[in-house]
Amino acid sequence: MLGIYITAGYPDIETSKKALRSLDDNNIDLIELGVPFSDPLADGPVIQKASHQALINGVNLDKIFSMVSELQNEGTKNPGKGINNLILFSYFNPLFVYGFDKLIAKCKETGIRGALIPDLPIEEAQELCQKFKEADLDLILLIAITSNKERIKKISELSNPWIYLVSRTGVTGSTEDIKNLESSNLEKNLDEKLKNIIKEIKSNTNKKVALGFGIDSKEKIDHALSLGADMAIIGSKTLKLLGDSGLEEFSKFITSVQ
Amino acid sequence: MFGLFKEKSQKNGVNQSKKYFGAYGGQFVPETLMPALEEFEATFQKYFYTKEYQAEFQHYLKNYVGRPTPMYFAKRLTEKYGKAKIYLKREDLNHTGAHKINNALGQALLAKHLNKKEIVAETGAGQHGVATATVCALLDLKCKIFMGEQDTIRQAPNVKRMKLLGAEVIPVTSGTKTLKDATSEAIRYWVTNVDSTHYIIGSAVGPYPYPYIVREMQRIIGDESKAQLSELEHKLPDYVLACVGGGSNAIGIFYPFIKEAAAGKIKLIGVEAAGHGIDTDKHAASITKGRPGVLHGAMSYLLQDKDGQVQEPHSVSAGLDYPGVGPEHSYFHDEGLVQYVPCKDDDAIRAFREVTKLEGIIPALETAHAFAYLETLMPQTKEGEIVLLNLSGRGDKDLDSIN
Repeated sequence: MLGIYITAGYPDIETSKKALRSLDDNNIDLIELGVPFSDPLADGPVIQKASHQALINGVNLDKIFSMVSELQNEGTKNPGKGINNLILFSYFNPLFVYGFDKLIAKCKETGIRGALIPDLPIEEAQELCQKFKEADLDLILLIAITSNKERIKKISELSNPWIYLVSRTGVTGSTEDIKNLESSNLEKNLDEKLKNIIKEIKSNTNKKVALGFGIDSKEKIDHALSLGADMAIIGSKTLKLLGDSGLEEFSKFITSVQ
Repeated sequence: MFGLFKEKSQKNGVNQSKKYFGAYGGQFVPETLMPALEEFEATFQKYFYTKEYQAEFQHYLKNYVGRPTPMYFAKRLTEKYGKAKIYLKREDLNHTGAHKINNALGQALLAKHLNKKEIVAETGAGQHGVATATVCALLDLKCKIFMGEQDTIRQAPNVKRMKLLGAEVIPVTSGTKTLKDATSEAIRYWVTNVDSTHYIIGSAVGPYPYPYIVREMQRIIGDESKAQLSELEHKLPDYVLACVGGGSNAIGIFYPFIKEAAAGKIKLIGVEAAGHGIDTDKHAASITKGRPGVLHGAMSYLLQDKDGQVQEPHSVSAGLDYPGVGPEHSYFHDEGLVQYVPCKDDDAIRAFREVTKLEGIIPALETAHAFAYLETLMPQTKEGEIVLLNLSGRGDKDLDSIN
């Protein structure tokens, strides 16, 4: 399975709406729609730039809900896929300030499946997981290669209905983009580690595992799946294409990696 | 929805769980960092209070940093107002010229126990960067400092010092190019290199356990002040004043007096940077004008717009130019334990000049905000009372900024 991330409103609201339509047409299994934030701590330069531009374009949660609502009304291709399996990828603060009760109501109203909050570890997530579950919405938590067995178990239990595994220590984007952060973590046994973590997750639960961060080609998607992941997620790569080369190249790439 | 977290904080209130100060604090960071935060807390709890650690820490504090710092009676400043006596806690006389080294040294000594040989830190005014670069030289640790590009210009002397000390200074060009973005970039670097690197955060901000550990390392300011004033004046101060950016010098001097403040015996006053004025969009008065929100891993008062986007702060002093504040300050504010007041750029600069002429002490522009508040406070005081002001740093670095 394949998931694609784009930042809402980048490079502009119209283009990102068309990109969502293209993802739906391509039957992408999961769409992560990025809510722009002024201080995206877990993101590399590509998503930082997109976030910044989206904010200049005036994007906020209400505009995102309208956009998804319009797309829903125009029709979707497949139940359970594309726009029908869209989650918000958002830092905690914009959601918190919007209000979680209102957020949940708007997700239900617009057919958004739920949220993934990269700065919400299990320590802070308990009540929210409950709230989302009660509303029959997804709240995806993240496991990292630094997570120990105990944490993996807890996160696997709480994350619903699937789990996001961060493929390495670091921020989003290809290693080329983030070389100024001098990632010293390209260890040879990384694959072994990821395999073991996926095994560990699967021994706790039958929930699906998505692998993300740094995936930018068909080879890396296949590699992610070969490690035991159920889904690979591409973010910075496709977003950069969309911003730099336009919708057509974006859609071409999406079709080519499927 | 804030109630959701309020509920939690009451359940695990400040007395039971140190992760939250009332409704503030917590750990809003990517999962990748959580094990490092757990390890840091465990290492702190295991070593900090041991005889061995304390012997080494105290040795360096005394012989290297120059503690205890003096408690100085500011005679001419006192005479100017003719009311309460003004005492200055001379943190500017610490090695490297500010209180920042208390925390940098304490954390660098812990890095040894974390088996980490590399240090990353952010800096605004450069005081924390210099302190960190200094202890890294002392303890033979590799050091990387992220500093907003704008700050590398307005605090150029400190950049030179850091480089001379062997640190790598990385100018940050994202966002406002100041402390907020330097902190974000330092955290991104830490997420990437978490196995080899310890992050020495410079203020009482960030995810738990940082606000707690930084406070424990800075409370020596207040602990010493208490003992010194008891000896000099046989009483405690009636007022304690400090400037507040992230709030580490303030938490350091306030914390040991918090019981007395709760009993109404002492008034604690934190001075925030009001920039061009709190009714403009150019200030850094997070408590006065902010609302609760999450930045850099903690829930606290935050300057933000209606969508929860963090607003660009402004202050003439790089060290106060930050849109957030340490979570314990937010708690103290809500509980009425500390009064937080704003002070404008111009008033701070005027106080900077005045203190320099009257006392022969050039205070940091950050500290000058606390001095400026004396204009408001002193007429309300009485003879026989004592005002204690934390002179958190020296101002040599600011000479270019005030012209």
